[in-house]
Amino acid sequence: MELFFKMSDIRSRNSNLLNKLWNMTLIFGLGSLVCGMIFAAPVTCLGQEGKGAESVSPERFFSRGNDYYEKGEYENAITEYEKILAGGKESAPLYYNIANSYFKSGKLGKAILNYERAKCLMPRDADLNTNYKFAKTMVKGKVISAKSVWSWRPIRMYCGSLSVNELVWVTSGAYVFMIILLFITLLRPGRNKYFLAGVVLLVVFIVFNSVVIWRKARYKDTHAVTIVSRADAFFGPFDTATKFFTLPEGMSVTVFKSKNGWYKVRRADGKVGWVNKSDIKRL
Amino acid sequence: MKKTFLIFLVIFLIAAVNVWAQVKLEAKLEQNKVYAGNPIYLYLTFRGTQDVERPEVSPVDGLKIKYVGPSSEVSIINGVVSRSITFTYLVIPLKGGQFEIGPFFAEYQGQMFKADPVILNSSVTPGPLTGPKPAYVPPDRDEPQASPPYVDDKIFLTMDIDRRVVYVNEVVPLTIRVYVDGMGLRDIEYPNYPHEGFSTGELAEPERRTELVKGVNYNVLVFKQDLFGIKEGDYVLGPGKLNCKMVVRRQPTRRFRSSLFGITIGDDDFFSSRFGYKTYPIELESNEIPVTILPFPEEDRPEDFRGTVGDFALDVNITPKKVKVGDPVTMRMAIRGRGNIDTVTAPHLLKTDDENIKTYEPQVTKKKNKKIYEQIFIPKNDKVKELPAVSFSFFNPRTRKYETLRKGPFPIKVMAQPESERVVKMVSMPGEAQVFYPQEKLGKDIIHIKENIGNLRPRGRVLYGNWLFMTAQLVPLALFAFFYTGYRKKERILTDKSYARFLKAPKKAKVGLAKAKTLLKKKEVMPFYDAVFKTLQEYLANRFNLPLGSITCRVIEEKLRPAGCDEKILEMLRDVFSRCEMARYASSVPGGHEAEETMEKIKRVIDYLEKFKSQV
Repeated sequence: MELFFKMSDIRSRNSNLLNKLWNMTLIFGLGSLVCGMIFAAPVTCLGQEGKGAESVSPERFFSRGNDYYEKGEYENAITEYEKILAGGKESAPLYYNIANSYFKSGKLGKAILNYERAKCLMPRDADLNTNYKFAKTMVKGKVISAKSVWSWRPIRMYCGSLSVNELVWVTSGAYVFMIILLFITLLRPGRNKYFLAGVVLLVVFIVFNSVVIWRKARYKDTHAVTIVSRADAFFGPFDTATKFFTLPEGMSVTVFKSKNGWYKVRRADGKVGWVNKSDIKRL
Repeated sequence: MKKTFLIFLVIFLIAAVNVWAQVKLEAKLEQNKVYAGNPIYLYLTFRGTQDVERPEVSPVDGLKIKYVGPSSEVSIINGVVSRSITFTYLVIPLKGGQFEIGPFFAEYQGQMFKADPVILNSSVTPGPLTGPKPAYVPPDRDEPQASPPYVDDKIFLTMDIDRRVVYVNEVVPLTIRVYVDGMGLRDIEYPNYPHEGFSTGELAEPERRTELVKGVNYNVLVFKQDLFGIKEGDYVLGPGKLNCKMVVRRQPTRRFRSSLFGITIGDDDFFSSRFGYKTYPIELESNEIPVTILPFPEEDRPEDFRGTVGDFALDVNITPKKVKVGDPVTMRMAIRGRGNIDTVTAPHLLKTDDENIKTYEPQVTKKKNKKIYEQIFIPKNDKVKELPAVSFSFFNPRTRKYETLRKGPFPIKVMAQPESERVVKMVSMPGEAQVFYPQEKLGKDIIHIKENIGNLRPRGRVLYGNWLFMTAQLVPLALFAFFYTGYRKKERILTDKSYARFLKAPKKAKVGLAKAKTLLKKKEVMPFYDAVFKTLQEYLANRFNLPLGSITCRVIEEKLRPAGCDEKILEMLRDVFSRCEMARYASSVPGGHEAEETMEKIKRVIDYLEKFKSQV
């Protein structure tokens, strides 16, 4: 008759159970990674969707654009490149080449605009950064530099060197790692202190990354570049309003309001004015 | 009313007198016999209160008495609260003999309390201390030194300086010595002293040595520091103070042997063993030294004198001596000697307005007792024939005169620069080779386009906007939640016995019923009833976490009825129990039909109780 469990049985079962749970954790960790990869595959493939059907055309346009560029026919090159954009596709090298073509054809504003678009997708590309900086030096008028929100250099470098998608992947990885740490915390009660500290750090990291992602996403919507040689900013959204200041071609501004064909913009030095929508272009 | 008041007054007065009677001052020595130089504690205890000022202890010739600090105590014995405060003093007998310390007085709420004096017998330690007392002998200096305090102590601090009369900016070494005999020191801090009118250099690492003073071999720790006067006037250096801990034996069972001890600074032990030793914090104080700082004499003061004091030499050389127009020439001026090197300034150029030479600010390199100035000259044309002479003036405190060193002018040969050799000159740091590069004009343009289109993707598509990706993020969390629930359940099974039995009850019952069914098919009625009874008993025991032997129909009914169990089920339960008992203990065994009915009933009872789980 089995009325009560013997303690030795409990201990032995407990040990077996812990071993099983530990193995399960490992399986879970690997499973999460595999799961992530499985899910990632279709997500990555999303970027390629329809590539089979249209794979020839964008590359042909791109190749033609390059040919025109090398011949010095920059307008034709831009036309070819923009056909790809019109087809609903984009890539960082595409924006880069468009920017180069605009630069060569003397359209500094559109060149900087496209460099910035490319920077959103491949922020660490050395060629891109060099050309972007060079183009910025060509902006006429007083150079006004805005103080970065992320004024601490390591944070600024971290935020600036990763694209939105890369940041999302990093955050997702941190999140999975945090769950794994929670598992370990559950199974190894003696070492909770360190693992919990790790969990807290990861939570902070995830929150921080989320803020950065939000800001970067917002940047695309609020950032604009002057694409005409001279754009006047007025005190009000109408032509008869008093002129406040002038934006030279290529100067970046922050858009925070839109009304009747006018954008309310803020220059880096904090001055706010209304600019005609045709004078600036958002990313 | 008056009577009551008088009673209270009398009680109050009795209580007050009682309180006064309890307050007393006691004096006690840690021990009454001690060797000279061995510190002991003196305790002055005020019983009955803690709100008293520290009693003053009158100085006693031959004893050094230092206040250590207070300690208070509150005790409750048989409900009676008693308070006391003890003031502790460190007493060091400086010589042998009998000493009377006290009496001691303290005031509390206007009343004076007195403690009787205590007697301390100090015997002189054998060995070197039995001879003549150690006396401090000042080193041979220009002027006599004042005797340091505690000359005849076994531990004392001295401070002396090389000269008592110095000039502004003149470097003068100061020495602070700690003399120790027959005891150890630890946790020795660097000495400090007031030094108004002086600027101090870095205090060097102390040296350890032994010195024989009047037949006594002292361990000596020597601190050295350079000072220089910054403002003329009469000043007093010191007294120097040094904090350390004195280490002595707890029980001096054998004679002191000074060879046992040493001195260290910092955390190093200097005992062969700490066992049996006790430490006492102590502050040593040295003598003061009056010093006069003299101003620089006005007479014969050179124009280029910038306050440099000492005895110096000047070496100057130039490289290269043959150059083309526009090439740099380096003049290296080294000033070395004894004195205040910090006050040394760059040598003065005697001719600085030469329009044919471009002059740069000199670069200085400081070494020990040496400063090197490197100055670059660039001849603007080939008319330059020499570099200007330099002069350096200083005041020599030994001769008490100003001295001026002159070097140069320095002849050089400057050649014209050929037109074809226009180059960009990279002037390197002095002492390094000069490197020349032809001037290069760099082009400026953007970097070429990319050859590959890269990873094409739909415009504006971002990862966080993809529902599949975001759903995937829930998977780890869901897995964790699932795992956590399972883990908690397993853990509960392992730790909660009743829960474990509760869970296994239906499984066991299922097995038991299957066995009973098999027996029923084989028409083995008696074993069938045995199996039914055992299954039911086990199920109910596990279900309600009861011992197997305690399961009876009545016990189960008592549990189920208050919970609102269906009467029909209870009836079935009773019936099954009674049939089983009849079959097991009575001679009549219920037949095949009844057995099937029993089987059906036990199934229904168990099914019902499984559904009824939450209510019991």
